Amino acid sequence: MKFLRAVLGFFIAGVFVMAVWGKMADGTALVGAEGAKVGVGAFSIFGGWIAAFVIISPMWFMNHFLGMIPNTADASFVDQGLGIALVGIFRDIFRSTAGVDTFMSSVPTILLVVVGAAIGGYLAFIVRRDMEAK
Amino acid sequence: MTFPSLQVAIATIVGAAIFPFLLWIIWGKLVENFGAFGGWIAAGFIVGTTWALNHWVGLIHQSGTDWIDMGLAAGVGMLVASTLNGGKLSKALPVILAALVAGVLGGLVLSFYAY
Repeated sequence: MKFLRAVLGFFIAGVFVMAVWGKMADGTALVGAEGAKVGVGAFSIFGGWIAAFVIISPMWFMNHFLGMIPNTADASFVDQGLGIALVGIFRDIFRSTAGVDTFMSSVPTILLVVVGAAIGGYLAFIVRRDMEAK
Repeated sequence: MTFPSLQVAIATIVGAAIFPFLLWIIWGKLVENFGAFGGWIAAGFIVGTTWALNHWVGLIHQSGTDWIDMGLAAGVGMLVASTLNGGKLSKALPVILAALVAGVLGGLVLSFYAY
């Protein structure tokens, strides 16, 4: 049941973000499988804040505040962003006729983002620890 | 698979680092101070503002045709910070697996919908 809860939480958040967010902003934020800009959004850069408020807020409330994604206190925390990113990655793999090449072309970005995220996570940990020690 | 220039790579790394940094420092405190409402504010202003930096301005360079969302940075960064904070990575593995299953299913459903 806990596994099902987690899958549903990541699934719903990921589908909303990967289907709706780009539409709220602009075509440049939503790149089709063949690299074409698709759709013309209504709110330009401001669509990002609108999308964050209307999508991320309720999804966070469901997944992390109510705790539908079962992150226990003694376990490492898995953010809903992981599921959201994975929906985007698989969306473009399934949509593309290039198959695995679609994924391979984006591996450099994946590696750089993972490195950056690890640095950011580490810095955040030592900074917050220092702030709380005072 | 083409790697971007060093400058673009550094910009991507920095953009990816900023997101989980803000999440770890700000989000919990906002919830502590304002309850669930703090989380709604955090969602709007941390995610919305960082999205403007990473995906609108484009600090995170997209090297290929497969969209890499900054949510990946949130996932990895929070995993790193919470593990350093004493969380057990092994206990998070089922949840990570669930994210992978949801990613495949969600991606499949969205690929059925052409827009």
